[in-house]
Amino acid sequence: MATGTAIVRVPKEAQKGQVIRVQIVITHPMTPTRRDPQTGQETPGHFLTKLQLLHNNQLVSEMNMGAGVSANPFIAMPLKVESSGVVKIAYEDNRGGKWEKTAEITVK
Amino acid sequence: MRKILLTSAVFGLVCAGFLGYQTVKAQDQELSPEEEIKLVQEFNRMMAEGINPGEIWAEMGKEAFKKYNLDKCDFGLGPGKVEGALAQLPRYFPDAKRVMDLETRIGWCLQQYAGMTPEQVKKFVKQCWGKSQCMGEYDAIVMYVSMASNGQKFNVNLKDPQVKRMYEIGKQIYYARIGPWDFNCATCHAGQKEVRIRATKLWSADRPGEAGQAVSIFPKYLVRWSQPMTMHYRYAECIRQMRWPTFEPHSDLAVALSAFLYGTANGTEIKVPGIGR
Repeated sequence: MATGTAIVRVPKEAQKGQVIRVQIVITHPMTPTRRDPQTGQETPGHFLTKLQLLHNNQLVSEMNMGAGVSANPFIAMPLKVESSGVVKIAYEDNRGGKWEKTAEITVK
Repeated sequence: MRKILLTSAVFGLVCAGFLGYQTVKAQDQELSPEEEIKLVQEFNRMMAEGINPGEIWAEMGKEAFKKYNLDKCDFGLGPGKVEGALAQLPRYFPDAKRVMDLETRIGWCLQQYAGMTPEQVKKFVKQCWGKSQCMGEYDAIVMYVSMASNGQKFNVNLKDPQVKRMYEIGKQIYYARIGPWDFNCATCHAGQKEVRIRATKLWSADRPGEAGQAVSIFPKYLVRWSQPMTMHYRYAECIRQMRWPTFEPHSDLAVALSAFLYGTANGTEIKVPGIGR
C-alpha cells in the first residue's frame, strides 16, 4: 500500500510575494543496485529518479535524485507565491511508479 | 644509472605515501568525545525539524483502526475515544481483569473485535520486527493512537492498588540482575554517572526528568531502520541485548515495565513521534 505515500506541508495562508517553505516527506525504500560479493548476483535497485514542484500547474523546479538519497526522504524547497492555488508535487521512480500529491494555499 | 633511478623511485613512493597520509589525517581528524556528542546533537536537531516520516504511519493507522474494528475498543475513556488515551495508561481494566498498557490493550481489542486468535495477534505484532522499510499495520495503529494524545501530560493513576502493584513489580524487574550475563536494566539506565553507548548518551531512571523525556517520544521513527519502533519492540531489543529469556509482546512483564516507566514519567508532556538514529 505504502510505497510512494507522501505528506506535503505548506502554510495555510501567505502574503503576496512571500517566500514560503514547501516541506515534503515521501515513503520510499531508496535501495541502490548492489552485487552480492559471494554469489555475484545483482539485486536491482529501487529509488526515486525525479521530483517536480508545480504551482497552479506551472513547473517551478525539478529535482533529479538517485540511489544516494536516504530512505523516506525529507525535502524542503522555497517557493515564491503570487496567487492562491494548488501546490502540486509529481514524482516517479525507476520502476515506473508515478505519483502526485497536492496541497492548497491561500494568498492574501 | 639504474641504481639512481631505483632510489629516486623509492623516494618518490615514500614521499607520495607520506603526502597521502597527511591529507587523510587532515580530512579525518580525530574528534574528542565532547565534539562527537555535539555532532550527534546537531544531527538530531536537524532531523527533528521538518516533517517526521513517522506521521505517514499515523495516516495509515487511521484507516487500519477502522479496518480492524477498533472503534469499539475502550482505552479507559469510552469506546473508540483515543484523545488522551496514552496519557492515562497503563490502568486496570475490569473487562479483561488485568492491568494493561496501550499496546496490550490494542492486542486484547484485536482479539475481541477483529476476531484474531492470540497466535495471529502475536504474528501481527511481530510482522515488522527485524526488518527495515516495512509498513506494518500494527505500528501504524499504535502510532495513530499515540499521536492523538500529543500535548497532554502523563497522568498514570498510581493510587489504584492494581497499578501500584504492577509498578512495584516493574521496579523489581528493572533492578533484578538475571540471565547468563548478570545484567539488569539499571546497568545502563540508572545512577548519577553518565553512561554512553558509542556517542549516544543514555537516560537514567535516577536523574529526575530523564525517564519522562525518554518515554514521552515513543513510538519513535528510527532513521537506521526507516520505520518506527514501538515500546514493546524497544523492550524486546533491550532484553535480547541483555541475554534474558525471550520477550513476548503484551506479556505481564511488559505491562509491569510500562507501569514503572510511565509512572516515573508522570507529568511529562507527550511528543509523539520522536526521532532517533
